[in-house]
Amino acid sequence: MNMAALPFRLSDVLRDVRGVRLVAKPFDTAQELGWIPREDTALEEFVNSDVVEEGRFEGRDVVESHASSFEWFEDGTEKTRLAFFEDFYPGCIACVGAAILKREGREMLHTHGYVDQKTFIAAFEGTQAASRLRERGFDFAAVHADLASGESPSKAIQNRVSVERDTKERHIISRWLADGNPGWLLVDGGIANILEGRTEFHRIVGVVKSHRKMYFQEREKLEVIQSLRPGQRSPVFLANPLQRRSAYSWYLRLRHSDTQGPFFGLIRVELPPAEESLRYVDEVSSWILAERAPLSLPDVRFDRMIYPIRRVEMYLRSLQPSDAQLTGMVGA
Amino acid sequence: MNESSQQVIGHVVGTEQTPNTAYSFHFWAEQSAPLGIGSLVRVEYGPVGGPAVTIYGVVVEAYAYNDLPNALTDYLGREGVPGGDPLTLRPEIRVYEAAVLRRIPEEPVAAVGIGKVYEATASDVRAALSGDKFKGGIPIGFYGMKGKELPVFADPDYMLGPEAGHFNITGTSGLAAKTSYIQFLLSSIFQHFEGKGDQGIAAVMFNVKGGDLLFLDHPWESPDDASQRMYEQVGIPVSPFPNVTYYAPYQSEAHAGLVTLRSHPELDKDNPTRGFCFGLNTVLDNADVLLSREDLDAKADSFLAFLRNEVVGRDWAVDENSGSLKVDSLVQLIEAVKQMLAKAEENRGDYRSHHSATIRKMYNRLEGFRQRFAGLIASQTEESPPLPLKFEDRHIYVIDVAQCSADAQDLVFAAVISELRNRMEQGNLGVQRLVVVVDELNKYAPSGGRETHVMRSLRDIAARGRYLGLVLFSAQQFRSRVDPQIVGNCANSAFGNIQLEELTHPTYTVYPPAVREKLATADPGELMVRHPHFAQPLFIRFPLPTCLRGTDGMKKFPVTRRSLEDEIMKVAKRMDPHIAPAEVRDLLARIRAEDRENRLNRILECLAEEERKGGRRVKEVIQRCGGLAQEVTTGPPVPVADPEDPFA
Repeated sequence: MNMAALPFRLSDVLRDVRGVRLVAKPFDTAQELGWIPREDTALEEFVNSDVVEEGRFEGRDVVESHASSFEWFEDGTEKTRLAFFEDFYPGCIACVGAAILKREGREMLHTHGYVDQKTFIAAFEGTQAASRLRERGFDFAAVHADLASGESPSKAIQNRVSVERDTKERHIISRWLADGNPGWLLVDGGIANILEGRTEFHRIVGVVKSHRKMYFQEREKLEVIQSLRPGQRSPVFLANPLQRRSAYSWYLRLRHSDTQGPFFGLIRVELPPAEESLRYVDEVSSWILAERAPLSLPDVRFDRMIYPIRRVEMYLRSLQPSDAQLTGMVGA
Repeated sequence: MNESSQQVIGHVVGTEQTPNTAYSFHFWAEQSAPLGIGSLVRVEYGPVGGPAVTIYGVVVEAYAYNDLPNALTDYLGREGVPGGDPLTLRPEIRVYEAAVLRRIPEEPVAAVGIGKVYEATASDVRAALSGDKFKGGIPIGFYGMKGKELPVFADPDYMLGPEAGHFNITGTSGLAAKTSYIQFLLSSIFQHFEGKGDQGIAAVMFNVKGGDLLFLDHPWESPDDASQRMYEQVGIPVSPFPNVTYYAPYQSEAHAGLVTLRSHPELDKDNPTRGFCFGLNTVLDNADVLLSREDLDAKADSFLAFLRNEVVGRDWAVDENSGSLKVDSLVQLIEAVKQMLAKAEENRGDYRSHHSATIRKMYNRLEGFRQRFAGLIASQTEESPPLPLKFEDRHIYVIDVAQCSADAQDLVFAAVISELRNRMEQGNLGVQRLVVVVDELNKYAPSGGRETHVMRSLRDIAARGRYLGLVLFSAQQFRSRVDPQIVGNCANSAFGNIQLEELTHPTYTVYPPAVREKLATADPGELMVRHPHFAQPLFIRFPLPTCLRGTDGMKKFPVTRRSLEDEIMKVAKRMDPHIAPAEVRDLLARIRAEDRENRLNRILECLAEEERKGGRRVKEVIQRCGGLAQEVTTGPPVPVADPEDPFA
């Protein structure tokens, strides 16, 4: 390996810091924090949302057109490796990135410059390791956690890395918006965070695959959502109405399986909270349905992940440092 | 081409699963890159802190895949319906495996690094094939896609000796791999070989099939553009071989006609085919070719040795009381053996320790030779071999045996190879290099076969010929069935279209599967060549020969068979220039229809005998052998004017 290509070697920096133990090789994959993306099906909360479409709350058939106006696709990735402990506080090397790929014809090869990635160290604020890294001018993300209140240190690090990733994604989408590109942008995940209170219309659509929060509490509405058939959507509602980061949203069923849970093939779509967005709800839904082929296998989330997003993810993973490089960054 | 040399077409990749080694590497390339099995590429990289490295490689395997984990995914993704195009194409990649042809600098021999891949240019091809290491290269074909061919040169010292030598070609018959390539090679060698005069080069070829090699001195009638372009590139004129001598066996003892398809009067006028026949010594020297394995046991071998050493070429007598017999011809030898047999039967079964059964067997065989090889073996006349006394520079000698029986072909082949070997040993070939072209090598030197005189000669030529100026250009359909010593000594090899069954032989397992598959589907005019300077085999193309193809030649110059009557007329005129042709024709016309052919043949034989004796009694012979009433003639024949006589 060309060691000169590595951005740093932690062992050179932290070897003489008291209490620091470098983790030359993670004991098992579970120690590779944040390796598996968190789009799981563990519901955390139910909230109530205002339905903004008229009519009964029931599944609505989307007319499938087999065409799509999405031209741009955005995704972000993160990769974290446990690097050291100071006493019981873990420290990590993480790589986050975001990219937008343009679909030209039917090919997706070019970012047109919309790509950003960085590798950095995440360490708990207040530790000696953090002080040493700051002192040596390292690109370093300080993790703040209230361990006394029971917060998990590994979860605190994961959240910190995710914040970095969100920042990258926000920046890259802001650039795309500022450039005034024609065509629609499909973003992996919600757009409410990205829009940060902007309420004007943009040709930008978010597809949320994870359902940690359900946007209804009433049993009848939840029943309508869970019984959506492939190609059906829910009425539009305003997600996060009391927050600054709101969006028009609806559930859409892409696929169905009798042997899977209610979230199989279920996504939530977001549009900017502008009135004009409501004109596009059915069109956007049909575009997303048209994107069901090709399948995103072997990704475990293939039922909800549309293929162009997988392509962006593949692209970003190709830029990430390899496991061997990360080990090299830890040093012996 | 030079512009494209700067165009990066791919990138070297090395993964843990498929790492690059010092001799092979992987790279991906654009889908539109003009690459396939056999393509040459140049790789450039500069290791950190080290000098720039250039690697030349040849593609030996090609892969294409996309991100599908399995076929089921595609089936599900298309909802079980074939056809239809999804909105996003899966990324598809072309990955190639290449074998290293050459590296610069040549040391250290390290693994190929990650670098940029370029399409090979003309100078790259030359460098990759070590063209800078020798002078006076001989073009042996063209590398590259149709329309963009680049010449490939071989080192003459490694093709024609003395450093290495010989060329072996394998290919399915009828697919323009062997004969056509040899013709191109000879054109190229004659044009580019530097020696002239007695330091020049000549070739001996056997025509074993149809009219394949019978029109080498006639121009190609419809040359194709691609071939012309290739010839122009390497400065070979698109013209037939100017100096060709053809030999064919005599049809009969009378030396009246020849056993050949090259018998059109126009050909006879410009460059007549010369007749040949072998004498007694040649027959005995090559008896192992003519006798079956069962015939040639130790006893027969011993008797033949006795004949060679104590009978042939001497005034021999069966015993002290008998008159001597000069044994210089097959007929005389048969007579001598007949006497031995009689003596053996008188003498309780033995003659000079040889059993009468052995003598009888050999008597029968010798008598059989006379019948089977009439014309080819001179039973009474002198030997007239199918080789010149001295070979001439840039001259091709074609020995036509296509119309002969398999046994006769074997005899001709064995006799010629033995003679060439003798001349090689004596150093009197007359030219610096003589190329002897042997087709169907697996027939003459089979692997695991009986060690025959021919095989020994071929092995000797293959092993030592390159030092002594005799170069073997051999060809066969099945290389796996050729004596390994001979092919092992051929430094240069070419492989055209090869049948799949042959490719399963271990001989070919050194080549990657893709190369073998390409060999199985090679087009006419496409070959894979090996040369001592090429680290890896190379796929090349070669132009069609510059001379008239055998099939076209046969159409243009159809066989004109002389009738037996014409043959008799020809011999009669030769024996007695004053004889009146009308008179001879009248005599021949009187021969009865029943048994006419036998009588005419008999007349030819008797005329030949009469001619040997120096006699001129043509009419008498015709009357006697033709079963006609003898006319009383006195005095010498009187010429009679014949208005139709073209010789008058």
